[in-house]
Amino acid sequence: MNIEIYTTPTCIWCKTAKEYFDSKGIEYKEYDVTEDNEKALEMVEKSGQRGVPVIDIDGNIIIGFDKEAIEELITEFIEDE
Amino acid sequence: MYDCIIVGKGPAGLSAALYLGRDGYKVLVVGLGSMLEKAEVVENYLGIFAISGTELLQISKKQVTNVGVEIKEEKVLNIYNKNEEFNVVTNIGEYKSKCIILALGSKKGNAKIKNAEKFVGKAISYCVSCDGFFYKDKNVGVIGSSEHAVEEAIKLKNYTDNVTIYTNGKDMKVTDKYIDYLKNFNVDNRKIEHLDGEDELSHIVFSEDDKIKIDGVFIANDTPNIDDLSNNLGILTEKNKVVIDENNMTNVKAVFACGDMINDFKQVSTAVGSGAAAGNSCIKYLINSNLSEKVKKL
Ligand SMILES: Cc1cc2nc3c(=O)[nH]c(=O)nc-3n(C[C@H](O)[C@H](O)[C@H](O)COP(=O)(O)OP(=O)(O)OC[C@H]3O[C@@H](n4cnc5c(N)ncnc54)[C@H](O)[C@@H]3O)c2cc1C
Repeated sequence: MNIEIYTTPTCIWCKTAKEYFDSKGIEYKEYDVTEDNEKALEMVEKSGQRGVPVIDIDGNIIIGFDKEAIEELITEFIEDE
Repeated sequence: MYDCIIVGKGPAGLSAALYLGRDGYKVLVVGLGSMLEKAEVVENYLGIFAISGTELLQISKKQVTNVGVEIKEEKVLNIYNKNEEFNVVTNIGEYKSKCIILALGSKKGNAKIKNAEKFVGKAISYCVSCDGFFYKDKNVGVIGSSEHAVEEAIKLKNYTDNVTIYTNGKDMKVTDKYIDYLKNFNVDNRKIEHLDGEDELSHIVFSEDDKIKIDGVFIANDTPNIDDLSNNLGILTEKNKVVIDENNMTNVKAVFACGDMINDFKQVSTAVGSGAAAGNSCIKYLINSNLSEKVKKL
């Protein structure tokens, strides 16, 4: 499972999302879009919008910290294992 | 520094305050009126045959101030967490505490603006701290007419100098604290007809077909609701209710919730019950985490 999170430093939901994955021991890559312009454009392209966080789980795009949507995708992954 | 600040002075907040106050904690209740003021007569609160909502609140407030609790009639604009302390920013002042009890009642929003929901994330946002960065040096607006709109506009100044407050036909209503800040912003009082754009928001359209081009808009409810306050605290909600554990604690440590904001059955009795539970859990939290001056002195 490949997880990428697009964040800004002042966004509490980005922190909550990272803590969520940390608590489950799931690894992810984080891109701070305020530092990385290319990734900022990529995020807008992928999600079609400009709200953070954007979470990409194996190409499935989740906008905001939508716990239910994340859990659904992760459960599938855990079941597949 | 307060032991606990309770936001909301309806039956839930006052009930929590009663428990903390009776145990000698330093407590501040801060909030605007309660929904209960609208109840002409309450006939289903055990032990009282019939009473008006206003009278029930008056007695409750007296009971709570009698045990040393302070009550302030102020609007909470922001709550943030710094060095294990909470800072509660209101339209009048700023207060610090070790824990927070939220008793905000059911969620309220602004009057709806046509197409606002359609463009969320597409140049419309409710959270400057999250998405402000995307509007660097752009022409942005805040829709709102209270201190909350000014707070959001101030945050936006970190990203761009081009910030206008759109009041949607209202007059700005702010306390003295905000009058000087307000001078830094353009204020447009026209009534908004709808928001317009193709894929993304591009224009605010006013009555009389007048319109202006805009790069982004932030919406600021006149009284911040739980979603607004969560943008700094990160409190999880599910199906419009705040998620709590068996101790009425939210996912954020030392922040508790009670009353209509957590209950399916929204009544005075359930609000009072969950307020008592939150107050009691807060006391236990203060003792167990060694934050209680009272216990330290023993
Ligand atoms: C017309 C009417 C009749 C009713 N009749 C009955 C009845 O007969 N029996 C019964 O049991 N129940 C009745 N209810 C329901 C009852 O009023 C509520 O269930 C109860 O008031 C909930 O209490 P609460 O403390 O959770 O919220 P509320 O009483 O709504 O209090 C919430 C508090 O939070 C404040 N607040 C919210 N956001 C902020 C902010 N950002 N800053 C500052 N303050 C904030 C509000 O201003 C308010 O003070 C009635 C309600 C209405 C409207």
